[in-house]
Amino acid sequence: MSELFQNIMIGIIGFLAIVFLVRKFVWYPKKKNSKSCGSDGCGC
Amino acid sequence: MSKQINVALIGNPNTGKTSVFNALTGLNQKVGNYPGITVDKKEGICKLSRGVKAHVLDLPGTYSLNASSLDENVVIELLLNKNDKDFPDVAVIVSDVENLKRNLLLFTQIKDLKIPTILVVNMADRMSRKGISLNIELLEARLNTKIALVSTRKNEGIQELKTLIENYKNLSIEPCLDTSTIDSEYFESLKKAFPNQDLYKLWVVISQDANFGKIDRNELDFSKFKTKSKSELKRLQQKETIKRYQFINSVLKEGQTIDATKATGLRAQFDRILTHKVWGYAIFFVILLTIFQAIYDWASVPMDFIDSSFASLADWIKMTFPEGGKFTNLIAEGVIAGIGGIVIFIPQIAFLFLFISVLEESGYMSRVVFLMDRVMRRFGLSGKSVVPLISGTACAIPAIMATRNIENWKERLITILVTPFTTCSARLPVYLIIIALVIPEGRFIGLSYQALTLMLLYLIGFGMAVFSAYILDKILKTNRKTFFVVEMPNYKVPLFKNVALTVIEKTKTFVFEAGRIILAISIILWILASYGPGKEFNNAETIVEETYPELQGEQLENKVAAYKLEHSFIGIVGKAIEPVIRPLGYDWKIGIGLVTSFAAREVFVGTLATIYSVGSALDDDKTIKNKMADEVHEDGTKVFTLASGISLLLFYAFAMQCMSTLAIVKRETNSWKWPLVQLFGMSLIAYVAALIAFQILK
Repeated sequence: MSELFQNIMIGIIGFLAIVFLVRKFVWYPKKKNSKSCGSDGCGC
Repeated sequence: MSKQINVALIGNPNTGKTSVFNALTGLNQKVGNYPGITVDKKEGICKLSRGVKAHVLDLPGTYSLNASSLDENVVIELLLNKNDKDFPDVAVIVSDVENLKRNLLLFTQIKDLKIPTILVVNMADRMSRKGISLNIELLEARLNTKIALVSTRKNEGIQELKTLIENYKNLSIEPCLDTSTIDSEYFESLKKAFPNQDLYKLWVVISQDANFGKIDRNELDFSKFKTKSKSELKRLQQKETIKRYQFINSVLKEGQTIDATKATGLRAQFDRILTHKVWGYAIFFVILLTIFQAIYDWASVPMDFIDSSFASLADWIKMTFPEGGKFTNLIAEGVIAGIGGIVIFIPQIAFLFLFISVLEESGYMSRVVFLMDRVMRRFGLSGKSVVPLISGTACAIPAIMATRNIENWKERLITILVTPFTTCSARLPVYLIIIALVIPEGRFIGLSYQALTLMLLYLIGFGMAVFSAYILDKILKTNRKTFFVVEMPNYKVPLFKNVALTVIEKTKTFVFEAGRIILAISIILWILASYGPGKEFNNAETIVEETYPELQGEQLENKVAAYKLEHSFIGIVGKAIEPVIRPLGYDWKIGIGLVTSFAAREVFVGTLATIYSVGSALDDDKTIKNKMADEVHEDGTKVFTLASGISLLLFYAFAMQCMSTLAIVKRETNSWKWPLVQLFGMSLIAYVAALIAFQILK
């Protein structure tokens, strides 16, 4: 495998890993519960 | 395609509801969360005859339809909302043969919601021992239902229950109690205001303290109806309960006989010893010692096997794909080393949950809660704080959610703030590897030093939680204490199936939840450790060859790898934070571990495994433990010594190294103030404790 190709592959994998961690800890899209009364996910 | 039957399993706590659920669904089950709240949602599929399937939902335990906690809200919301996709076609109410009177209160309430209802009388195998006999036909007639006499222990009655579920359409929906008799005048006006609504459903909605978001508010618009005051509603609730018990008493008088002379009273004798103010604690202490000893003795063989297997796998990949270059290195040094750092702990985690599960299943855990309550009250903690603190040994997140049961805000806040001190399962990997490195393998009265150290760490965590609560109680000045009632279930021989399912489920969650984070962090770390800026990193080989002309072969390659790591991106970051952690006895590589494990504590071991893999050129066949043991400072002294090891253990015992916990605390306190207080407070305690330990022991 050429070095450039390897670097690109590693870059993509690294990017996906960062996206995963950001979504896990920093910004996670809220699962909207249409039947819930509030927006804070309090469950009430 | 045949229709799937929606089944809701409902019952009081400790009636063996989960055992019935396991018997119905086997391994066809999954555990999730109810939307927006951290209450476990257990559901599974049960195969009935002729290809019919039942979707079984194991709802949280509840004593009645008068909700006082989040768990109970979940049950009531579901039963009141016909539009919910999980709304039951049939409700299966699980009761305990020894507590039938109390369990029937919930049964009568649910039946009055006009949902087809089956009554399961569980633990039927105990009937003869307790001198209980039931007239099933009479009970069925009086309660207007079908009854399944079940013993999950002997696997009896499950088939009959399945048949009843399949034929749920034949069940009567006649109520047990005429609701209007509670207060004829009030209920008459209610009927007039909502002529199309079911009276009992209306009453349940009106009489709750909680709001039910899922129930259609247009359908039940109470703004035009003048309801009673809160205290009057409570009085009516009590009246309803009395009427129900009058009905239950009359039913059981005819359908149940208890011959006290045949009953054996072993439970009382056990309780006297296990909750004794001296022997109770001594026995609990011995049980703890046995658990930690067993974790070390039983888990060491599979742990060593997994460790060496991952080391061999990394070595094999590098040998088999030598042309793979950097990509092969990423797999061998980043992915495999990182994953190996978590998989290695599966045996210990499994054993820990095995013991916890056995203690819970046997009924002993409730006695522990009782014992702990006695201690904690002296330190200003409410009895209701006991459950979160004990469940914090598995994970702080559900434990903090469990504090919602504490009505007094200050007490709840104190419990939230101190719960992360209790040793969660994420700390276990860090403790185990550090203990294995720095604590000698000798024994003291048959108990290994390593097991004793592990137990000591659990006690230190618990002690710090109690001590911090005492201090916070003085600062926040709580006046009112909430009352705590705990039910002591009967002692039981744990069911193998239940224990096995718990161990599998908990271990799977631990590995997959932590595993994904560790994998992602390992990849990023490997990239940061394998690339670097400037000439120092790019010309590492030339610089090392010129600086150390005497080095050759393996020694030279190792020196180049170490030099590159030091000048990589991660090396630069590590070196920048090193002055802060140097007084604690840590080098910059441990510093990187401390930073990454802020995401989750167990990431620490995977981080070190990745850094040490990148930092040595020819050691791929070495296990994680050996790599850590061989790590030396620039002056040749070992990195992991007794002083630095104890310092690290104390740091992890006290530090708030968990982003998810902080997020939950923010959500529960609705402010960033308390999670930040917690973060800085715990980090400061951890730093000072680690500093003192290292400076004394070095």
